Amino acid sequence: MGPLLSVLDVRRYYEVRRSVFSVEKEIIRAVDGVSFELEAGHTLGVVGESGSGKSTLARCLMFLERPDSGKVIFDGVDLLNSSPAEIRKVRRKLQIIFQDPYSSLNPRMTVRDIIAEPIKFHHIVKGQKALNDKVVDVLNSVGLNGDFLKKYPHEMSGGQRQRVAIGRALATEPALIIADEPVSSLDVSIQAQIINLFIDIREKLNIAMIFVSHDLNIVRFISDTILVLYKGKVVEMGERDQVFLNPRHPYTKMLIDAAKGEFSLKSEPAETPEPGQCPYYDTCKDRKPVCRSQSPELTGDNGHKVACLKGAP
Amino acid sequence: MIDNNDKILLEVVDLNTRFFTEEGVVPAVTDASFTINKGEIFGLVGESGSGKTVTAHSIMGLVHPPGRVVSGKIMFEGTDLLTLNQKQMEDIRGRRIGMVFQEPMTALNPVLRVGEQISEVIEIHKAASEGTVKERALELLRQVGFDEPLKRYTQYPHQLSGGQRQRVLMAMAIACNPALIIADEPTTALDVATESQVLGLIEGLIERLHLSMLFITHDLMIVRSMGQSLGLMYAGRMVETNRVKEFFKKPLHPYGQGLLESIYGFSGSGRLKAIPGSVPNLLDMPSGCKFHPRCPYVMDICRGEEPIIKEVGKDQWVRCYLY
Repeated sequence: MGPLLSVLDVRRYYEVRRSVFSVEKEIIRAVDGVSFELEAGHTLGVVGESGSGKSTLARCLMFLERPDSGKVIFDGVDLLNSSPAEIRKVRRKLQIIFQDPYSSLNPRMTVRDIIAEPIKFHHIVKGQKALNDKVVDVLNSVGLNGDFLKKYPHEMSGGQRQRVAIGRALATEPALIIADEPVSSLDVSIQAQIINLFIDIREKLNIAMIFVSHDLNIVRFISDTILVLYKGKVVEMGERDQVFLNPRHPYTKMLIDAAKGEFSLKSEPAETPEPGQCPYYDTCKDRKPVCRSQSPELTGDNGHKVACLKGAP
Repeated sequence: MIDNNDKILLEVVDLNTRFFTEEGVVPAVTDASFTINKGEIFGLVGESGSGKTVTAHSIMGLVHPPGRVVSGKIMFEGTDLLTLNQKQMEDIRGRRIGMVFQEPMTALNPVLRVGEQISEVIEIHKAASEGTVKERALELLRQVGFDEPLKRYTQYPHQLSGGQRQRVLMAMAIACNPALIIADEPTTALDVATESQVLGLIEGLIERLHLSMLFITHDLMIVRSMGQSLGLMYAGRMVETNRVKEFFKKPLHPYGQGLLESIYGFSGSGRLKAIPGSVPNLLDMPSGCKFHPRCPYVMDICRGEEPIIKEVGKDQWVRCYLY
């Protein structure tokens, strides 16, 4: 059996006007040729700063956004070239969790209804009794008890709301969960609880995850594989320990240093990157003349790939 | 403490700030005390709702109804700021105490050129003679790291990146040679790379201009990289003040220990060491020590009366019965 998810050369560009009155248009390459594979039960951490394209990538995988080109094959189904009926069949196996549970949960629904809705929609169980049991099961699996059934989102803390959002995603018994910054809006002391919950779920239910975050510390604990995005391109990808202990791209190194509290002062970056050069050229500490004229390809073996002329083996 | 009086720039003593809302009186800050020495960066750390921003607003006289500072002392350069009237406070704000906020886009006026906004600050506080205002503004832009100050002077805020806007705010904050700068999460809205730059800039300015800074953040890593002292707030209380080096070796308060472990520490089973429970609602607080329901070392005494903050070493204070 092949991988659970194959992403092949996915691109998503946006055309924007330079200003309100301008006719001049600029193309933003939000996701620019991203490819990776994810095995069942594995966790991929996608790291990047705001503007790196990580959320657009997540949205492309979730059909919230249609890529301009490329292929997304999930569980054997080519998501971009299939009929709605075929997509509906795999849809329940693919779930998403957003950053802010306060805006992703319907404020007028109780926790019971929030979790029951996808179970009913996808006909996961038959009969009222089975439905009620399933809802309670799901609640327990995210560390909440039956007292929460009748609560509304505003009656809960941020951490509890995110647990409900995770429960709603688990309710359809998915094979893959995509979590976009799932702990960023939570207090530091609560973040660790939710990350532990993700680790529990992965162990118990063998669900694959794509964990999108700007925070390396968070991704580090939970991921098997790390993918580092910069300006829509994958600049480094590899096994967790390879990337963390032996980072090859200067951008990854900078992120790791920052996560350790080692900030470095740099000069003002140039504003517009020139075409045909390494996307990281302007801010790179280790740049060479060749980096100005050549955009590096992602090279290396499956355990560790890097798109840097200097870091490539 | 009397013998090192000339070292101290700001001394906050038993500050209490309340918000009188329809749901009840919210004790946003309770008995907070700390000192900031001349030339140091003091990191004020806590989670959202812990009272760190309200503490800063109390110092700057920016607590508005239904909020009010109900008691305490804020000694700054020999004056208790809480005894000043609004006009006197306005003079201190901007001239002696500069401010930098989290979201630079909302702190800048979108329809005024950057240069005009900096000049305005200089003019209001008469920080330069009339003919030299523009010159001073350009110099400030250079000081905050702009290579082409003249170009920046004529630009509007929307033409700048987030990091550049934050640097313009820094220029405005230092325009009148203040003694203290209060920065409230100045880099939270920025990318990691830009954050590094702005933090580096701040550190350089503090050193070069012999400023002191109250740096408010939820990010312990930032304090670790650039502060000398720190205060840790929980549920409106200052639970620990410590030197940064000592804190990162071993925090005194169990809450500080829990926070560091939840960032760094793997427990045996491949899980993070999380602090159980959640931050208490300020309107419905536990008895005794406000951290006791989540504390691994909880004792009977912790549920009774709330501990006071005690000195346990040089510049080390903790609000906990373990000491």
